[in-house]
Amino acid sequence: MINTKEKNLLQVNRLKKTFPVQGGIFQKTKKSVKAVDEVSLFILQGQTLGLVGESGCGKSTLARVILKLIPPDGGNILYKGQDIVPLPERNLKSFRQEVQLVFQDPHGSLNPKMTVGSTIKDGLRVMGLGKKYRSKRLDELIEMVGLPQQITKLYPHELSGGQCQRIGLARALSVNPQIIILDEPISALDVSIQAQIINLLQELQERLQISYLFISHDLNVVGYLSDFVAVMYLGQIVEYATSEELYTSSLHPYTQALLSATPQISTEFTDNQYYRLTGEIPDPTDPPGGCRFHTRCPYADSKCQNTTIPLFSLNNSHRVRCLKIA
Amino acid sequence: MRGQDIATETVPGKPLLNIKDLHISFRTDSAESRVVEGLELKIAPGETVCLVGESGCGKTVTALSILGLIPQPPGDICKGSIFFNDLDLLNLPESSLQRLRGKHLSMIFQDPLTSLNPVFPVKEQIKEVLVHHEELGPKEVQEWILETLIQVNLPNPGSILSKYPHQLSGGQRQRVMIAIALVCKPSLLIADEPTTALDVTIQAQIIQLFRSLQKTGARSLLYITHDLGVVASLADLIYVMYAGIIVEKGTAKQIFYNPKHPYTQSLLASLPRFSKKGSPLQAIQGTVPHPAAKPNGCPFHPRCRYTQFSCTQEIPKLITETSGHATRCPVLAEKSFSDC
Repeated sequence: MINTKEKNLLQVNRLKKTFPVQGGIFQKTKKSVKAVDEVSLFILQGQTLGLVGESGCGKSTLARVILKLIPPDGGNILYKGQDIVPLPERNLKSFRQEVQLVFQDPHGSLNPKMTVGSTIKDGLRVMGLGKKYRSKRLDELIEMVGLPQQITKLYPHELSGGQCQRIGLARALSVNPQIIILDEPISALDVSIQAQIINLLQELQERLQISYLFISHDLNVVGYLSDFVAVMYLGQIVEYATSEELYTSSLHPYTQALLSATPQISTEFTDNQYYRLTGEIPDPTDPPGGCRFHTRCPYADSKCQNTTIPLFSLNNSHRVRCLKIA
Repeated sequence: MRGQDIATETVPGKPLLNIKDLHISFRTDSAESRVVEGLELKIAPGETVCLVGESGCGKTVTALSILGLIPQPPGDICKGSIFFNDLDLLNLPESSLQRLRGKHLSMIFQDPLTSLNPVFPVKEQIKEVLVHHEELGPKEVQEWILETLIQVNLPNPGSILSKYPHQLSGGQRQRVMIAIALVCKPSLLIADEPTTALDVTIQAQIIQLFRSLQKTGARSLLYITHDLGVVASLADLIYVMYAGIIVEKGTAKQIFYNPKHPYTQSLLASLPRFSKKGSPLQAIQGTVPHPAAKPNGCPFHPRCRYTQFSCTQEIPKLITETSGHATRCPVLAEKSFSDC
């Protein structure tokens, strides 16, 4: 399964996940939510892919489907060239080890009954590594995430949010992962702590050449951290570009709206600069036909309402799901 | 329950709200948390003041104390005064506060879903405030409510009236909350993180709504948030709060382009931006102190680059420049003076 020369560490092709929505007295399936709809993306070794979108657009579901924590309904997930979708759980051991997840809620994702030390060592124990090695590795990891050694004897409730998030990272790092999926890792933290965690993430990436899939709703953070950015709307990727292209020449009206809605530290501000989206994200059980964004798009016409729009490639790295651009 | 109108006329040139030397602490069995220490804050009629700070710095407690909503005990307003026009809010009997809240002072809370009552339709919830304060016939009530819903830009206000909170989206719920706060046309509106629970695109819409409200009336706004980016487009004056004290006060321009307190400076420097890509962020070391275990002296000194011995001794005084820009850091003030 290992082909280290492959630079595309993880590639996802036309991934699909639909959740049934049940209702009525017999719990019949009435509607469905296409949470992840034909999503394709790739993660390169040592690089960061940012995934942005508003709440409910399917970001977290996509992360869980990629990890096969939720089985996909279609498409494939190529990890180091091998499709892991058809593999049974017992053959996923090395995939599970090499692709780790860090959650949003730093306190909620740690076991309150376990000390920090045993939480971090748990993954190593499952891998069958010896006691001596586990203790040595624990010391290394605690140092790596910038915490004092005494912390290993504490319980999660004794720690601050920032410390808990460092522990979450140390736990993910313990098994030498190739990819870490970070699901809104800093949104629950205090503003003055966020920069510490962002710096730590960058430092670790440089040192260990890990790849990140960084999920966030904050375009400022994503733009700063990512090499590539995918923008998601109602289960679909609407724009995919390098972060330079996205921030200097975004093309999809939704990306442009997101960018202009992101609060900026600037007092030069006029109403015209504020390109606002009217309305709200539509009901995902009943998404609009044609372009899913046409209900809120200022440029939409009848063609947008009726045609299913593919992701157009502009060049190697820039892809947009918009008729007006193509 | 309708009582006489008790708020007196605003006097030109005098602040609408004047908080002086406010100290609030909370007692538990084991410790005392001094949440707000010596807060001074003024809001002029028609002015928008933003209070910015991290969680636990005392922003919300300050807002609740204005409305007389701090439970005592465990809370204790040990010192200070809050004047609304010439009413001493801290020594007002509950019955008078009841007549003031919702009519002259109203508040918008952070989470619109938990702040709305799930078992009543929108109309009943807006009506409740209105009939408590105003003597109106049913027809007028309907008119007032519809007028307010139009003011907050809710589409199809007529159909929204009969809906329950769970049938509305997050943005619509927050607009309903704003409508409840606005329906009696208060002279001071307090908004406590009104957009934190919302998506960015919806946040932009709500901020736009606040901006249009600013333009229409002589209504003062106290806007509380942790997000410096949000206040940029709204504030006449920004108060930056850290661990219970105001560390810096100034206009948006002064705060963003010429921050004078090390906390404000480092906070602005630590914000990730696309333009900072490639270089590490200047993170602030350490963590926010717990309110029950604040360091002596300046609360920011354990995390500050400029700490001197004097910083650890007592809380520095707020030094105001002629431009109105005020900061609570004598070390940096002296430094910039010697640089000149």
